[in-house]
Amino acid sequence: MLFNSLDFAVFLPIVFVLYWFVVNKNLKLQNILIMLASYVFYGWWDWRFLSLIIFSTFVDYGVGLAISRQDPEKDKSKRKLLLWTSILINLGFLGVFKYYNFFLDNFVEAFSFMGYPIGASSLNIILPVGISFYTFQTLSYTIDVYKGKLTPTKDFVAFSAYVSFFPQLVAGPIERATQLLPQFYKKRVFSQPLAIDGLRQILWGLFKKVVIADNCAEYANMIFNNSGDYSGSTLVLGALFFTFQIYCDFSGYSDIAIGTSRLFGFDLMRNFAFPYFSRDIAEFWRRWHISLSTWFRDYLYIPLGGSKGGLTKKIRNTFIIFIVSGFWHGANWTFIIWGALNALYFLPLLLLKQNRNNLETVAQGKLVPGINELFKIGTTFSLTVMAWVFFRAESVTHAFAFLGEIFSLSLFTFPEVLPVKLMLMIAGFMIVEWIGRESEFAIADFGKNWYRPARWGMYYGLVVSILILSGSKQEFIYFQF
Amino acid sequence: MSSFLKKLGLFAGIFLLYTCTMYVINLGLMDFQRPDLQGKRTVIVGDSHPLFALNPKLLHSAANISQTSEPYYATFWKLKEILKENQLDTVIMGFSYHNLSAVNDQKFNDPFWAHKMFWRIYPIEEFDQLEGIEVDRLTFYHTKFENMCFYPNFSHTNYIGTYANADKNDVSDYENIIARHYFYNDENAGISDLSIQYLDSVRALCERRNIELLLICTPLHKEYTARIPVNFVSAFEDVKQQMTRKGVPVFDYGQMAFEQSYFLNSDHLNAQGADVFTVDFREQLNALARNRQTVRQDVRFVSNEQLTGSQD
Repeated sequence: MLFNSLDFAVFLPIVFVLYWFVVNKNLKLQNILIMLASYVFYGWWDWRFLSLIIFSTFVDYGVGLAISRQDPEKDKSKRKLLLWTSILINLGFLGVFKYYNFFLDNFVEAFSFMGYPIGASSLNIILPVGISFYTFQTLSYTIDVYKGKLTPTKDFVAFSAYVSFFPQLVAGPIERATQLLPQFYKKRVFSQPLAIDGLRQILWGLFKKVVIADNCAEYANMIFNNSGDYSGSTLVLGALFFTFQIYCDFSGYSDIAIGTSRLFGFDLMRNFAFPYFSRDIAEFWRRWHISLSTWFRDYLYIPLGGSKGGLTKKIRNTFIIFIVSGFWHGANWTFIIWGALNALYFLPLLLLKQNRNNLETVAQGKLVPGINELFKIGTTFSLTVMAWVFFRAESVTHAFAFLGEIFSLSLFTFPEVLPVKLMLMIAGFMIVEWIGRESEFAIADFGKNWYRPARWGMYYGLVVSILILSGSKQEFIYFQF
Repeated sequence: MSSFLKKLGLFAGIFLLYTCTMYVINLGLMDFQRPDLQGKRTVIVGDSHPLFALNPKLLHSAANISQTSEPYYATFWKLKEILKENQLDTVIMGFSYHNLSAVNDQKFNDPFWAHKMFWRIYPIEEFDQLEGIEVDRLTFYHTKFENMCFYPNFSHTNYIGTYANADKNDVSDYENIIARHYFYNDENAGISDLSIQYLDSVRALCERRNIELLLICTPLHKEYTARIPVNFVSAFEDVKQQMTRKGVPVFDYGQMAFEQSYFLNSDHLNAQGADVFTVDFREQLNALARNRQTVRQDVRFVSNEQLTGSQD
């Protein structure tokens, strides 16, 4: 069920009431309720998806315990074998459901190109919602157990609840077992400040998703789907609308996930930290989809050697990490090129040892950025927008044609599509984001010192905006990943 | 927890009180906002075909209240509402091949159309009378909520259209239009029995109220008509004959040759084409009024003399 649906609006209060009024005195019952509610939430899309997640849960629970029973010194190969069992099963699911047809089609095309056409049937598979997220989440468990960073749990219910935790199950944040699993070992006690913060974050997430993202989606889809009919100036707008669509859609979902978790006494990791105010690409990747980028950093980049070693190794690792990250998003060459493009953006900073600049918030303590900062933000933003064209385009050819038209004389014509109201809404939204950039989310500290009528007026304004200004309902973009 | 729930309850309660108050206020405003045709005795109704093709200024005492994509059930509800406060002599209604398409049955359920349709017809809907079609109730209540519960709304008559046109000419869109009119999910949509039923309901309503109903199929570009699926052509001819047998004059300009430059696109006339067509149509109406045995003496149309000051 979608977060912005009536089904969820009914589901959440029911689970909330049961959680805090019926099972609140017993930890085990709390976890059982979370587990069952999560399975209901996930099965709402398609009950058949449940078999995969339950199987994955059993496998990794068993592997975790089995690894811990082996002697770290004497049974190294056995431990490694168990770890690889978990990795292969989890990535195997991902490979079959997500990438089988991609590899098959490319295989067939390659053979045809070489003059040896072959016939092969593609699979008619539905991609289970959230598979890319929960497989990585369970992998983090087995890998951390293997590395000795985490004691494997014997509590199957706690583990199942951790794997299937409904607020973050289908689109993240991808939680580390070391952070989230221990929260299932302690009975949650209701905290009013945490719950109120949670509701504020849910409200802001809904606003971003329903008002900004869904409205941007209408224009982004119209322009991208008919890009051959529009001038370069209109295509620029299309790229910008998609830029804000993907940010508000994904970060909005993360806000709702984190806010919902707070209602139940859980603390999830931050997933977005105002990435469009980044001063360079390295900073952008420290602020965008943080749970995924840190996952790849810790479980792929660092084991490969990271930025240590010679020049060739650095370049190789950088490309691997970004291309795999792109490929994680989808089985299409466009995502791979998007990843490679970001690698090209990042590499100069890494090689010049400039990738650890700009660790603090931009224009910290100031209302407006300096000229230099503004220039850097503009440059980084422009590079990001250009890369998003590949992310959104139907094919590589489409992306190049799109960019080709942007960088043509038609860039200097008046756009055929100019939704002024939406553009003003985006501008207003970015001003709010800028003002709140030093907080966890834009309105985290907004109005906290105001009198209640003013503060509630702000909340009512957001609620009314969500109800009146909503765009045509769109699915969350990251559900397709 | 109790403090949290009290605050939440108070927050929700204030919101509920406000929205309920606004709803009651808007119910009152709706009662005051009846469609006022300002004494016009002839209405032109239907979808974008009559909307773009008939300039009401060239017809005596006429109002063009057509709206784009309007299905026949919406036209029926609209007429019922109008007739509560207005007296009409004549209803000129659009009647074309696509009006019988079952694509119309999706307009209250399809994500692309539903919200737009509901925005217009929420004050006049009779969904309970519609059998066999799905209505996206959630979107409907959301739309109604938007219009009734937030502010005093002084425009509850969004179901009344007005004539508007442009001076463009591009007929290359026929493939897209044919796909949109006659196919749904890439399959032939089939004939809508409900649309035929509501067309007859309009006829019966006009008959009860002693109103002359005229059906008009406005000019269509030959590239469009050549691609209309056969089942729709047959259904259109069948319904045309049925209506004629029931005494309803049908003016079929669909296959008539019309100057290419008068088309806005492959199935609509542009501003210039509408003026030319309306004058021609007016002459047909005058001829009909003159020649019929049961001529309605109160049907009057502006003659060229009155329009231009010159002799006919």
